[in-house]
Amino acid sequence: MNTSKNNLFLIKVRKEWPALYWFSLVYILGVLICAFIIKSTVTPFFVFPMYSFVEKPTPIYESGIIEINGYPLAKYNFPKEKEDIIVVNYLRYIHLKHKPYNDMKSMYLNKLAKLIGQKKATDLYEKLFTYPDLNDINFGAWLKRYLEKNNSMNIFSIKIYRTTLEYTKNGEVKVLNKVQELSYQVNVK
Amino acid sequence: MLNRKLLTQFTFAGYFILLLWKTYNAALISQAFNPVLTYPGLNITYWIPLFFNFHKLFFESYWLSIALDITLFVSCLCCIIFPKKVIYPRIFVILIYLYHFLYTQFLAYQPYAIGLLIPCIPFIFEKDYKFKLAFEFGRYVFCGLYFLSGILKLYNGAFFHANNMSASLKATLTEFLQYNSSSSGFRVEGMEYLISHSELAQLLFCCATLLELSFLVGFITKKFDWLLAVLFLFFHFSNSYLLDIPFANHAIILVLLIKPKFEEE
Repeated sequence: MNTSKNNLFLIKVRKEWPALYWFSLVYILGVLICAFIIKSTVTPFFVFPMYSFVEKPTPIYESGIIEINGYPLAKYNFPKEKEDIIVVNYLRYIHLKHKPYNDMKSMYLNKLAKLIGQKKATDLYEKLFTYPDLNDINFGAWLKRYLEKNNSMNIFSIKIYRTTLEYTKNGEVKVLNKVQELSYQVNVK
Repeated sequence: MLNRKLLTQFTFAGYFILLLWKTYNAALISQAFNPVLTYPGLNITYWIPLFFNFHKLFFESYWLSIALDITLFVSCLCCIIFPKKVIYPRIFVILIYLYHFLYTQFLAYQPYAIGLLIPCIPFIFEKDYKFKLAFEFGRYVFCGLYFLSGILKLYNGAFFHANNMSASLKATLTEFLQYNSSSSGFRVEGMEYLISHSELAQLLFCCATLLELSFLVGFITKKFDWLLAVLFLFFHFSNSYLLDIPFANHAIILVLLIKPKFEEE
């Protein structure tokens, strides 16, 4: 292996393993397209665009609260990833209830329609971004299953609330409004 | 410096610990118990298997998801026990990519979970020179990932907006602070302080951007790889503490900063 004369990776790899050389060039091009045009990772072209866009402050923010058996779930006692699986899913459920798929629509559908035609794009969109079976019962049943099986809990009710919040001058959050979005009860015989 | 055998064992021991951590976090496929929602917006590549309902094959069959999880563990163990056989890393790579696709359907975590997809790749090559070049390529992918992230913060404008980081903290931490508003811990107070002091928050953001840009050094020399590892850990521990963004999935990428040793050198 030559390590002294040609230290530039691409020169070295071009001589020793041309296939990797060409893959490297494709990879660089792919990453640049993902970074500057698509603005997201498209496996295997990995990019980190998060926190690079300008975040506009808003007067109010939305979040959620989950209650199990009548009490707020002490999810911050869970390991981080388990906590996030619960949080990410119920926040998305609240989001989808109010803005069903609009975010995805504006992001992809119009661009896709230009590439493959309106009908095919709509079919693809319907298949990927819509959840015909999504309702309180299905989502509540999954949440119950996930929490009970992974936490040895016995659940007879789940409630999810959408909250509206604002930040005070000291950076603290203040809950302005709390609306119930899901109520899942288990029939106890 | 580690020879290939030790490097294989070290890397896959890291993966094994990660898999144990995931089990503890209930983040294996069989522990997801057929999730209702998916996250197609995360990755266009995943549209193809999603379109053909490939994910449902695993989510709807509990035994198939159990089989996937077990073979993931077993192939990882085999990589440690038989470090000279390339068949096990090859099986592991297929399974970890499959796992990642399924995992990102029930947890929208993609950015800080991609680290686990990269360091295992070089081990699939039997010939040492291919392994060495692929490992070096992986190292450049790692450095490029962070350097480009710094560039994007300049290009997309976040670096230049005085209130940007404060607004990002508000958007990111709403849920966390809502649940922890009653606690008066140092961490919560630190977050609230940064939210209310936007200049300081933006200064930290600019420092983080410069830190990411410093990964350019990795393209020029390998002498400072130890420093890049320190910067990586500092960056991610800070993110974890102040933004509540975990990086356990991603930390395995650090392996790429180890220099492989070969007999002919």
